[in-house]
Amino acid sequence: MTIVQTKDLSFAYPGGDEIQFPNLAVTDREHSLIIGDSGCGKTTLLHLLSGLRRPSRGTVTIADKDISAMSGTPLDVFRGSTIGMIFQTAHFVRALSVRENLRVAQQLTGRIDDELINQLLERLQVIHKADAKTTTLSVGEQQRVAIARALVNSPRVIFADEPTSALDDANTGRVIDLLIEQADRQSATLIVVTHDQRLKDRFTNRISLSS
Amino acid sequence: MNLLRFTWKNLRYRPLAMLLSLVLFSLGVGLISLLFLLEDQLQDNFEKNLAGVDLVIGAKGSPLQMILSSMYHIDAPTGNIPISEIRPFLNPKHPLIESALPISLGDSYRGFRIVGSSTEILDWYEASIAEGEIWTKNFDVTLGAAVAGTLDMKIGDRFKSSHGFLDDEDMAHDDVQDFVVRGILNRTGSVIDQLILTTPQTYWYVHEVSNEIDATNSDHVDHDHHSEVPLPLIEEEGSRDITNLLLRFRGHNFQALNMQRSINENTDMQAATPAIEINRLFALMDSGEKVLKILAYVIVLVSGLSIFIALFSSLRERRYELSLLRVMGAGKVRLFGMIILEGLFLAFIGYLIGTVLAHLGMEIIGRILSADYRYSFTGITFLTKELWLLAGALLIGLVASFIPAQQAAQTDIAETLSRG
Repeated sequence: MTIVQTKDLSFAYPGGDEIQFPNLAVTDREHSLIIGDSGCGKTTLLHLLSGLRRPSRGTVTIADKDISAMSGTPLDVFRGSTIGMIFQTAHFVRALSVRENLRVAQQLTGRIDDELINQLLERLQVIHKADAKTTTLSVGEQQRVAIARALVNSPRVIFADEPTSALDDANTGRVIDLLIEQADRQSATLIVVTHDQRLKDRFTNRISLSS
Repeated sequence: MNLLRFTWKNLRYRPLAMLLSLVLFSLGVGLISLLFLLEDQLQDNFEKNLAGVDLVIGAKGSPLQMILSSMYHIDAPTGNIPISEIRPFLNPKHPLIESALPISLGDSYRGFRIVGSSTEILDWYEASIAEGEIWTKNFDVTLGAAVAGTLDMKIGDRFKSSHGFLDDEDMAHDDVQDFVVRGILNRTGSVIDQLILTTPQTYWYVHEVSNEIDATNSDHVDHDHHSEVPLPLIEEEGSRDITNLLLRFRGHNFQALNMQRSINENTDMQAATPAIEINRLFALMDSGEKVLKILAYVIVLVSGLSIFIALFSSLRERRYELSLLRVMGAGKVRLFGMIILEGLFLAFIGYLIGTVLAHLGMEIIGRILSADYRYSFTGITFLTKELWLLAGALLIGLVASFIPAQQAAQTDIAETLSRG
């Protein structure tokens, strides 16, 4: 079963050239790598896939839903409950603690599950920081909490945008292991968007973007 | 976590900017609320003590001063009037006058005024006796509830009066016989609570003795024979004085209105209408109050502006957070509502602090005023106007947060996120 699929996808920035993307078809639970050089539109593709941007042409289908036809609150809610996102740098609602950040993420899509939050924090070894403000976390801890947040609604798909670009080899390996392991445990499909060639060997399904 | 707590945490995360808005807002609201309270209670106090008095007669001077001293017992009397002059008004068969109430002033005991009057004053102010009995003889007194309460006096207590209205031992009438407390009145909420009541004639004996002593310098005079039931004032011989005469008319016809003019024109006395004088006083205070109110409204407006600025500038640093919330499933409406809620929350807290401060301030002012003027003001009341003030405060919070909320809802998430 295909979980992420695009067809004839293209996007144009206002006043810019149109970027065309190859058709994608990612099978459920088949972790994938979208790889390409800087400036080839990786992040744009990621935004299109997660419904943060609207394509100028073509369709994006996530878990059998054509999200390019959705808009407004239904799209926001769908994204919140079906897609987990991990950004290059971790950001949080600074006024809230680690646990509260995760609870807000759950609350926005309707169901609070404290048990799952505890499990995730435990698994990602940040349970001791559960009640700390996110600004007091180390960079590694921040990234782990960001992963926990991406998983907190048991999403079908996890998009990770350059999760390793700032890390050394050892940590890159660790983070990718962690991402794959956690995605597996949540039965989610991990899709990593990166220019980081080190990740090539870790994924069997690779999609190359050329600029 | 509920929405209110989320709002509260977000506000608390930026305490300085919020504090400024809050301080300004509560200052403005507090000032308005305080003015409401003062206005209401001043009016209330003054109106309650009008006691249906249509005309006040007294010595020539400021009519407002005469009204304030004879009816409200603040300010000094304008002087005395001879009883011979007012005897016609005391006649129960007078065609225009329903009843007349003599008032003699000048002395006090520990700051409370001693008022010589007939027992009819109780009906005028709807007072009743709580314990003991009404004064009948000279040098017998009945205490208003506040007097008995503040001075902790009981029936049978004796005291010496002092000249003037200040609590000043040097002015004590030491050579005059003691006053004896015969009764205590129920609390009425009107000015009578603050008075020590006795017969008008008592004043004559007190001051007669003082004059005698000044004149002859004799050491001892036996005055106890003055403790007798005095004649009704109308039957008193000679030309002794009282301070004021309060009148109630049978009807408000042309002749009654004319009476004031004829007294002012044809006698050495003056007559004044309390309602008119009090309105004049209110008009005077009104202009000052207006200025203060404008000031208060300006402060509230400025604080609304500062809420706007605080929220708006917080958006800049929160743009990423807001985008994040969108990614996590928050719709535009929710972000809009979030910021609106922050504005409302600030306004509400500001209103609460302001109102509490105003009532606290009113209570303090009340204590000071009641020490100085023997009037009761309190901060422990709530006016319906204050609910309107709450509505106004929330409206300002709403308006101030509207544009920031719209900005928050319109945040370009993809743009913000890709900039990192």
